[in-house]
Amino acid sequence: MKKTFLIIAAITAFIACEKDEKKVTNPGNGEEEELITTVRLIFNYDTVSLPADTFTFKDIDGAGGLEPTVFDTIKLVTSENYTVQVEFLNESSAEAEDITEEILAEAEEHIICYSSSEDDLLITRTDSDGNYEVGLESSWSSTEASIGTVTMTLKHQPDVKDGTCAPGETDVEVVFPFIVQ
Amino acid sequence: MRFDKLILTVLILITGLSQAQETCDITISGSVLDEHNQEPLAFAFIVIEGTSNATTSDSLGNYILKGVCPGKLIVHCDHMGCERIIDTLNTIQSTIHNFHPEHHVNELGLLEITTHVKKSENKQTKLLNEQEIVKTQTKQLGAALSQIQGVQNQSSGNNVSKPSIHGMHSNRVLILNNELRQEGQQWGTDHGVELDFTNSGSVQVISGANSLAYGSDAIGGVIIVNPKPLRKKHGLQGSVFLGGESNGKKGVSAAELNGNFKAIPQLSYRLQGSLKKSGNINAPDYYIDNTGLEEHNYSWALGYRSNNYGLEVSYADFNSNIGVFSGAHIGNLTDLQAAFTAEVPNTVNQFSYDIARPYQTVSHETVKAKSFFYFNDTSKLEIIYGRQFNQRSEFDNHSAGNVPDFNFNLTSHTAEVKYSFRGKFSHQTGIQSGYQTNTWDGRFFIPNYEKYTAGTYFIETYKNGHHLINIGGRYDYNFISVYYFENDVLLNPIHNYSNANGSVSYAYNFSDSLIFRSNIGSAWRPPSINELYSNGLHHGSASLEYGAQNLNSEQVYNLNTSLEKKWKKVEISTQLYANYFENYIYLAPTGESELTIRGAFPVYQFEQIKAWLNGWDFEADIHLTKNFDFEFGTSILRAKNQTDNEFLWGMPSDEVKASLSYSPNIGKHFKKTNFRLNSTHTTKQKRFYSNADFVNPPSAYTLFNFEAYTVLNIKTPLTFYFNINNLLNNAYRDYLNRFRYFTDEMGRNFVFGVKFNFEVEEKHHHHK
Repeated sequence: MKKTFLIIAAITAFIACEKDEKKVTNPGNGEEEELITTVRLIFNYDTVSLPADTFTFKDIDGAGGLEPTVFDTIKLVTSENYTVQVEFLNESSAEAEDITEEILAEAEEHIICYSSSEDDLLITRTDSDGNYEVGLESSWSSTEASIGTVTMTLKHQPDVKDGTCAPGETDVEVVFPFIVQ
Repeated sequence: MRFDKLILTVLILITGLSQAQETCDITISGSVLDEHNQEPLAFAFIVIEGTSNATTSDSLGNYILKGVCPGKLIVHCDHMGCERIIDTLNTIQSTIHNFHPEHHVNELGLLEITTHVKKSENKQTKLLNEQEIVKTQTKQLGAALSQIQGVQNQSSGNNVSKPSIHGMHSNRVLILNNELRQEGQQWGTDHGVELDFTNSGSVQVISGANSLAYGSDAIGGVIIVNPKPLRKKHGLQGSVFLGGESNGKKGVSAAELNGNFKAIPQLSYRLQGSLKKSGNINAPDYYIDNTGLEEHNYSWALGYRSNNYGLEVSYADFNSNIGVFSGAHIGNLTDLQAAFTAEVPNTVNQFSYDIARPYQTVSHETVKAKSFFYFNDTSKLEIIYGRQFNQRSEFDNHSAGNVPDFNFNLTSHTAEVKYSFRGKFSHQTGIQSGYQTNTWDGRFFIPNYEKYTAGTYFIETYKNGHHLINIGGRYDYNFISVYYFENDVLLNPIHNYSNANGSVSYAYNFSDSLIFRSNIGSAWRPPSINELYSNGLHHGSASLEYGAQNLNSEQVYNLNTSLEKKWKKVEISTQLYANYFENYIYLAPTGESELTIRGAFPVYQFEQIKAWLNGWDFEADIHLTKNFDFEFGTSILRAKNQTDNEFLWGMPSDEVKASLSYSPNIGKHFKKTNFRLNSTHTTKQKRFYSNADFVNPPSAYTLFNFEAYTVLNIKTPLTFYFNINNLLNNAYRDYLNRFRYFTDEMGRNFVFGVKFNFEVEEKHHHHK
């Protein structure tokens, strides 16, 4: 019995020591793996051959700290159809990381929702994960001149995706101002 | 309603009958004398089993128990350092009965001046009795302690809970687990208390001068959880516990073995372990997704004890894996709004044992070495060293695989030397020191730090006749060195905090049936690391939290007065308290918001204010008949931010508890049989700071519980209990649960447990 104890004691003391290796004076530099700093909306004209327009929201240091550095107003022309691609990036470090690919790879866990404050701007998702829409690609059609906002939301919906925006956790929510003129 | 009337009728009948039966007016008196030298033993605690009729022997070892009912009596006599004596008396008239404890000079219980404090007069203490401990073996510490008046369960969902004493919790409550300060990530309410409750032999809450022995920061009180002392007699003793809960399909098993070596009688040991597993719990209308729990713990202790010195080494390992309700992991304010307006959470609604992201894994490992020396019967010296590792990994909804989103490692070393002397003047003094490091990886939440602490204290107790005076003082020094990067530059700010505090308690024992106590004192705590350095988004509360590096120590002055009165059929105890905080550290809403990629978040900043936390606890126990008891209790707290003339938010609302218990004699094989119907009414908190919260506090609710308990007293006693919590399956939300935004509380829950005790004694060994 005594021997058993000594063995247990020795083992636990050994295991115990293993855990105490971290250096307190040498902290990490706080890199968030899954940080999204930037949302980019790329507008391709459907009817005219003009170069694509890009509108961006960028908050380089994540939540808190500094204010967003870029926050564009979406500028569109009247009576036009656009095919829109959305991109999500982590630009917090020198080498930017494209998170869009991860979202595409886990499309069945994600949905991007667009909600316009004005009826004149119609937005529909045009892509699919096989069962439900995803929203990385969408179609925007403008009619008359108007001013308003579009709320763009990226929802993470593991196991609960049902084609609507309600379930899950919000990863991105940007309220873009827009002008159609 | 008809049921109520029936009970009432039965009650009246039985009351009438039992009063006709007997009068409880005999007296049992005698002396408590040392078995070996016949010296009188003061402070022995004598109680009649199954009653609250108890007393303490005086300095000449004499005791007297009045108002005893005639018949067969089982009388316990406890004296520190002695085995409990259990004598059976069969008497119809007043009797003299002497006890002869075998007074080995050996390890005393932790609280030598306070054993069975509820009945003694020198401390403001509340304890859980054995039955209350056994009945909550499947629960968390916070839930178990909420049985005590004035203690609430502060929680984040069902799996993370901690006790709140008079509205104070986390950094303001000191938890002493097996004589060591529990060093975990105490900040905030989203971390539970990392200890194995199935290993507790005694649980008590103390305040007043005696809490100075444990730290300056016992602002709300000290919770002392101790395993059973090591076995001193030859042989083996052990227990096996099996329990379960219907809600969450929880299973709990625990086993303990206490032994003493025949060949080396100085050597004792204990082995203990427990396993817990539960799945998704259900609220009355839905399953609460991802609320499973897994826990596996074990501990051992080895003690060597000679006549006047001893050594004890112990080890405990706590491991848990806790699912976090998926609906509580929210991304922004819109999600939060949606969550608390939803009738049913927008999550998977089914039972499962699987724990998916988000979840937390926590391990807590404790090593303790202790030695003690007795100079004589009344004075001793103890040296205690402890080391604790606390590791926490949190896994968010986002990433995949087994890589945590962040990790904390907290390592704590503590050492202390204490000397105590017991007599008419009792004396306790000690020196404590500590060293702690915190490191992290993954997402930044709080920085690395090193903390050095040193403290010294004294407590003097003077007892004379009806008076008891307790005076204590303490001085502490804290040095914190913090390491973190800001804009790629390593910063190393230093914080120093030091302060003295003290306490004076006075108790007057008018008679055995009326005791008055009062305590005035001060306490303080240094700001914790999150209060100094939080910087960023707090997931789950959808807010940005900022620490303040220039915070000062939190200083509190308190006054506490209580009265206990015992009549023949009624016992009451009432306590009034006032806490004035000179600079209460609190997370204040700034009224501003910051724009992020997830939308705008409200900004909170740690600030210091002047605050009052005042309140009243009341308890009454009415012995309706021999078998029926009615208990009633209420807790009222008023908490005010004096600086801004606002209420403090997140404080417990007023609460009323009532219970009717029936303790029948159902044959000679069953002991302590007890059926209890209790109900708790928690009012809606109307005193809150509306700017601080997104939703108003939830509505008032009333809960009913049924409890049954019995001990089958065969050769190896078997304890059974069966409870139904939330009997009426009410849907409700609790203001002290941080998940109140997202989900209802647990619905009806059937809880059961069986504890099997066994003992193998050496036949030839004579014992009393």
